[in-house]
Amino acid sequence: MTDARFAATAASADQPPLVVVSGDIDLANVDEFEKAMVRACNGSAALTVDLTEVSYCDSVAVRALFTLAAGTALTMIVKPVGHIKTLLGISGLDRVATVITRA
Amino acid sequence: MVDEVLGSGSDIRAQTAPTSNGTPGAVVAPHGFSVRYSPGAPIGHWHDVIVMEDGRTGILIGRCADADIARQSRSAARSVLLATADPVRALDRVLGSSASVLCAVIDGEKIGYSGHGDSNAAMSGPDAPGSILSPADARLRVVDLTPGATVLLCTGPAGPAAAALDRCESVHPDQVADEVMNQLAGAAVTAVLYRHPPEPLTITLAAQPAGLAVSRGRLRRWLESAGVDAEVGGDVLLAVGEATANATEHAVIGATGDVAITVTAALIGGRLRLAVSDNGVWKPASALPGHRGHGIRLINALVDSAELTTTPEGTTVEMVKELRP
Repeated sequence: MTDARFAATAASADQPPLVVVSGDIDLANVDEFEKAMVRACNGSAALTVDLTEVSYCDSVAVRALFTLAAGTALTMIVKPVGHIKTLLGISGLDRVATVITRA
Repeated sequence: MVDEVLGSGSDIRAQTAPTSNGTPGAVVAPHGFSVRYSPGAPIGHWHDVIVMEDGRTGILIGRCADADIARQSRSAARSVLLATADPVRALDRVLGSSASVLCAVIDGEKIGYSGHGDSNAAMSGPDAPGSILSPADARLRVVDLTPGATVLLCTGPAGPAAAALDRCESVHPDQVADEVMNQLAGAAVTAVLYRHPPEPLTITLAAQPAGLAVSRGRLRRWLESAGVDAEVGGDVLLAVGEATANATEHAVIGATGDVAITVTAALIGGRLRLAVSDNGVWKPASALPGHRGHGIRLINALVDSAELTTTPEGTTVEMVKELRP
């Protein structure tokens, strides 16, 4: 079974809400991923999603992120190299959301 | 250009096989090899890993107390090896009996080697624990390479190093090479480690989301055993994952009966051949709204070539990924 964990931190005075994701995201748990983001966002105008500990995700996750970016100022944190950075670049998600790299 | 490693403390990986002196067919550090070097007394060490035009791979490692003799021996042995692919004749060109040299040629499913001085060979495979091969002497020894076998060629003692080869078949060869050097701590040694391509992988799963993680886990382990680096492995997992998710999500629509997906992977001649096939119904991207086009675009960007074949019986995506040095 596809295994991922979602840790949410509520918004503070100067920071938007944050979701830290670890593990794999695919077709089997993408709904869970989407729900975790929507719940953390909770109507906020901005959301940060930390994907640095994600070991696998594909265009199924990109679809969920596109949907979210349509209504929220989305910032994603990813590792500077690896397939997730490639995924965000090729899908064009990095043009509708902010991508920050962190080793 | 002859690169020398004369008692330097640097990691030799950056200096592997600098044979780009116009020699035909020579390339640098082919896939499947890991090289480590540990300096001892200030003597001349050298090694070459050379892919020849006909696909055979020649390996030369040596050390000698005299740096000039080391340089001349290396150059002469390499020329003969390139011309003849014969380890015994290449060894004849090494000057002076004080040198420790090992020369090997990998030809398909066999490795032939010959050596003298303090040089050794060891091997382990999925069916056999780490063992020291017949001593490297002036005769030619030929050994069968089983799928996934790991071969260690070194100057210095092979005994302690053979322990690092035991049950190493699912470990990336770079990690095995590090473990070999741990076992030989303190010894002046050059170690060349080679991982022979493992058995091709075939995974069959029902087109259900729950199968994706299982299939991915098995492919991830196979890529590791094939010595594929994490970054390239990540690209391959994503390309195959896209094709598999696509089949799972879309092939089942309109299909009669259960849809099965087959994922295959093989390492042939430094090239990964991957295929994802299903017995479902192909949907052109235009027939499906949303972001479906990402999958195909991604696959094309991640691998060197991708080909889609659709028939009434199902769909196959075949992909090739080159494993560059």
